[in-house]
Amino acid sequence: MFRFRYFPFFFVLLSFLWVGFADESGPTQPTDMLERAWEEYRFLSLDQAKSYFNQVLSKEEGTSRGLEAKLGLAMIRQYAESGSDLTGAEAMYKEILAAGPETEVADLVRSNLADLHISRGEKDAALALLDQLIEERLHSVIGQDALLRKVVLVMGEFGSEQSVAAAREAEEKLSEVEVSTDRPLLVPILSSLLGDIYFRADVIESAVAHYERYTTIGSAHSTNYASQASQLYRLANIYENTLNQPDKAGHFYRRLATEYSNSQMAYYALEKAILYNAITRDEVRELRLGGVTDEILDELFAVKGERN
Amino acid sequence: MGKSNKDGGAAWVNYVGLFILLVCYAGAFWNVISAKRQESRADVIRLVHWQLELGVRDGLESLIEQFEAYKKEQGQTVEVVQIPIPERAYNQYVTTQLIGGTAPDMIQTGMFPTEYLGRFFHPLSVYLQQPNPFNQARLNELESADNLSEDEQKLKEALSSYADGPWMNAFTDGLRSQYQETFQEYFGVGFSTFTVRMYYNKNLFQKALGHSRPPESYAELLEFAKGIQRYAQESGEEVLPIASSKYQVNVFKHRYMANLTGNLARKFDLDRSGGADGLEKLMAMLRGDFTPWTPEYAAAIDAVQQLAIFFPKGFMALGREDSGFAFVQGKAAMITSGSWDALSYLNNIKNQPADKRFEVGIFDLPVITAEDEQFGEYAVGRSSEAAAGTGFAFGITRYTRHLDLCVEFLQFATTPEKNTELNLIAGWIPVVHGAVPGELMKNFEPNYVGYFGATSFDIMPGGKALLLEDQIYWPFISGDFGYDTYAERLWQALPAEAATDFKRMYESSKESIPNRQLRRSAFLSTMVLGEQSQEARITNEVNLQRSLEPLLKLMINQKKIDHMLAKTLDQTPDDPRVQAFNQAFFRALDRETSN
Repeated sequence: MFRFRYFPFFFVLLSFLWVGFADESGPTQPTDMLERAWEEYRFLSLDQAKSYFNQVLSKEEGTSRGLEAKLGLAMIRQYAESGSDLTGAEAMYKEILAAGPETEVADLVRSNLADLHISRGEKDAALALLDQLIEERLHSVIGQDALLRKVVLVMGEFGSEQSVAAAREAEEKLSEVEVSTDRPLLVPILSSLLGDIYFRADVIESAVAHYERYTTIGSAHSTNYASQASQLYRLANIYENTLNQPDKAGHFYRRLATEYSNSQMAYYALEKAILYNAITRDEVRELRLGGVTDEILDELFAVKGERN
Repeated sequence: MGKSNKDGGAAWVNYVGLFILLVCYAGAFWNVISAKRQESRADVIRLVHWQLELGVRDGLESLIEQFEAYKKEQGQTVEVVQIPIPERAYNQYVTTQLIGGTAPDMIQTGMFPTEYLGRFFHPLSVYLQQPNPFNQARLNELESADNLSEDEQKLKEALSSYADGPWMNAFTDGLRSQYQETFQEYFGVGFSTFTVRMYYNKNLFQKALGHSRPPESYAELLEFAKGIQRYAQESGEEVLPIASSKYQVNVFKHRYMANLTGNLARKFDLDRSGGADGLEKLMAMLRGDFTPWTPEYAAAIDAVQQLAIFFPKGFMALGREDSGFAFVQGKAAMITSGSWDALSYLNNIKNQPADKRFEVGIFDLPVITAEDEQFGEYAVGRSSEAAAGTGFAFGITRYTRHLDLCVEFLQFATTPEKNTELNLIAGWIPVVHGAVPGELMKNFEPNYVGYFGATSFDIMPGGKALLLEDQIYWPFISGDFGYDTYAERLWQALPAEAATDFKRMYESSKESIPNRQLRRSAFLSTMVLGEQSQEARITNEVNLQRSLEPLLKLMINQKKIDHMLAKTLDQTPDDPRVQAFNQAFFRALDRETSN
C-alpha cells in the first residue's frame, strides 16, 4: 500500500532525475574554464566566476593559467559589490607580482592596487603607483587610465587653483602622446575631464581646446553618441554666447545638425547653423530630414537673409 | 465511526493533492522532453515578448516563417518560437527565467530593471558596427538587375547609402535609443517606432462644426472643442469634445510643457550641455529664477487647464481604455494617443453597427505659436521627434546556445523589405531606412522639426519633488482649487522634498561607484588578458573608454554639485519668498543629513 511518508523521497528522486535530464555540462578543460570564468566576471556573476577560477587554480597552480586565475580571484575580492576583502586581495596581488608576471599583467595588478589604496584612503600609496604607471606607460591605455585617476585624486574642488594646476600637469603629460581617431586610447575622456576643470574655473579658452579635442579625436563610436552631441552643443554655445565667435559657433552647430541628426537638439542646431551661414540649402536637403519641407526651409533661409 | 469518516476525508484530499502534484510534474517533464525532441530535430531559438496584439504576433510569425524557409534553403533546419507573455506577468517571467538561467534566446527589452541588460544580455555593439549582410546582398541584387520599378529604385537608393556601413546606420534613429549609457553598450535591435497624435471623428466634426478639417493651432483646438460642446448642448446628443483620462492629460501636459518652457531648459543649463538636469533646476529654484510663478511654467499649466474643461466629468477616475472606448463608439470628437492604438481604434470602429461607424482623421497636437494671443510670448515651438527612437526591440540573452543564429535572425528581420512587411501587418511604424510605412502610419512618421527640453519641478526620476508636483497637480486640474493655491502649496512643500532628492542624488553618485569600478575592471582585464590581435585590442580599448565615461561622471559628481551650489548661493536674491524657500531647503537638508 502506498504510504504518504514516502512522498518526499519520491519527489526528491524525481527532482534528481529532472536535474540530471535538463542540466547542461560546463567546461572541463582549464583554458575553457578560465575563459568561462572571465565571461562570468564580465556579466558580474562573481560567485560563478569565483568557482571557475578556483577550479583552474587547483589544477594549474604555478603555471601562467594559475596566475591568471589568482588574479581573477584577487579582483573578485577587491571589486565585489558586497563583502569585499581588500586585505586578502592585496596579499594575492603581491603574490602575483612576486611570481614575475608579464609586463602588462604586472601593470594591471599595479593599477588595481592603486584603486585598492584609493578605496582605503591611502592617497600617497595610490599616487606612488599611479605615478609609476604614468611614467612608464603613458602611451598605453593603462598609463592614461592612471593619469585620469590621478587628476581626479589631486584636483580638489572644481574652480580651485589646485584643480587648474592638476589639469596643467596632465595637459603637459598628454602633449607627449600621439593618438589618432582610429586609435584614440583614453585621450577623449581625459580631454573631457580637463575641459570640465577649465570650464568650471572660467579658463574658457583652455576648456574649449579640450572639448574640441574630445569631438575630433573621439567619435560617437569611441565614446558615446549623446556625449558627443552634447559636447558639440556646449562648444557652439560657448562660441556663440561667451567668446562671441559666430563663425565657430556655426561650425559646431552644423556638426551637431549633420553628424548627430538623431539628437533632439539637431533641429535647433540646424536653425542656428543656417543663421550663421554654416550650411547651404542644398546641404540641408541632402540630409533628408523628416518633416523639413521646402516651406520650412524658405522660412529658415529667410531669417538668414534678414540677418545678412 | 465519525473518526474514520474524518480520516477518510483527509486521505481523499491528500490523494487529490498528490494527483495535482503528479500532473504538474508530468506536465513539466513533458515540456522538457518536447523541448529536447524539438532541439534534436532543429536548431531552436525562442523569443519572448509582451505584444499580445493580433497584428504584431502575425507580423512576427510571417517573419519567422520566411527566416525558417531561408535557413532551410541553406541546408539548416531552424525553428523560431515566439512566446507572447501578458504585460502584467512579463517582468516576473523574465526575472525568473534570467535568474534561473533558463531564459529564452531573445527577450524583448523593457519592463524589467535596466541592470539585467548588463548581467544577462550579450552586448551587440560588435555586430551593429559591422554591415548587415542581408542589406549588402539585396543591394547587389538590385544593382545587377535591369528595369527596376520605382519602388525598387527608391530601395536601391536607400540601401546604397548604408548597406556597406555599420548595421546600426540602417535604422532611422541610428539605433541610438537602444544604446544604454549606463553600460555604454547596445543591447537591443528594434523593429518599430512610435509617436503620439490626435485622432478625430470627421463625421462628428462635419455635423458639429460644418467642416471636417483638423485644428491648425492651439487656439483653433479650443475653438473647435467649444463648437462641439455647443453642438452637444443644443442637439442633446451625448458627445464629448475630447475623450480623456489621466493618461491623456499627461500627454497634453508633456507637449505643452515642452512647447512653452523649452527656453527655460536652456536658460538654466549651467554646464551648457543642452538642457537643464534636475540639479540645475534646483539651483534655479534656489536663485529664485524658477518658481511656480515663472510665467512660462504657469502658462504651460494654464494651457492644459483650458483644455481640461472639455474632458469628461471625472476624467481622473477613467482609464486609458475607457477614453479609447468612448472615442470608437462615436461619443467623443477627439482623443490623443499613440500610433500603437491606430489599428485597434480603426478595427473597433469598423466593428460598430453601420450607423455608428465614422471616418477617422489624424493630426499632430496643435502647437502654440508666437502668434497665439494668450501664450505666444513664451512659445518655443513643437517638440522634435528626432529622438523618437526604436521600440519593440529584442536583446540576446547570455544563455543562448545560438548566438550567431539570433544575430542572423535580427539582421534578416531588419532589412527594409522585411521591416515594411512586419509593420504593415502589425500596423506600426517601420524603423529601417527605405522601409515604407502603411498608408495609415504616414500620419505618425516622426517629425524632425522641433525643439528640445521642458522644465518642471522634477529633480530626479521617481523623486519626491516629482511626486509632490504630481500630487498637487491632479486635484488642481480636476478643478478642486485654482492656480494660486496650486502654486502656494507647491512652493511651500517643495523645499523638504527637494532636500530629500538632493541628498539622494549627492550620495547615490558615491554608492554607484563600486559597481562601475567592477565593470571597468572587467574591461581592463579583458584588454590585458583577452585576444591580442590589433582589431580586438582596439575594440577592447574602446570598451574600456566607454566604461570609464559613466564612472568618471560619478567620481566627479559630488565635486560638480558642491561647485554648483557654492556659485548659486552667491547669487541668491533678497526676495523674501526665495529666502524663505532657501532657509526651508537647508533646514530640511540638515535634518536629512543628521538622520
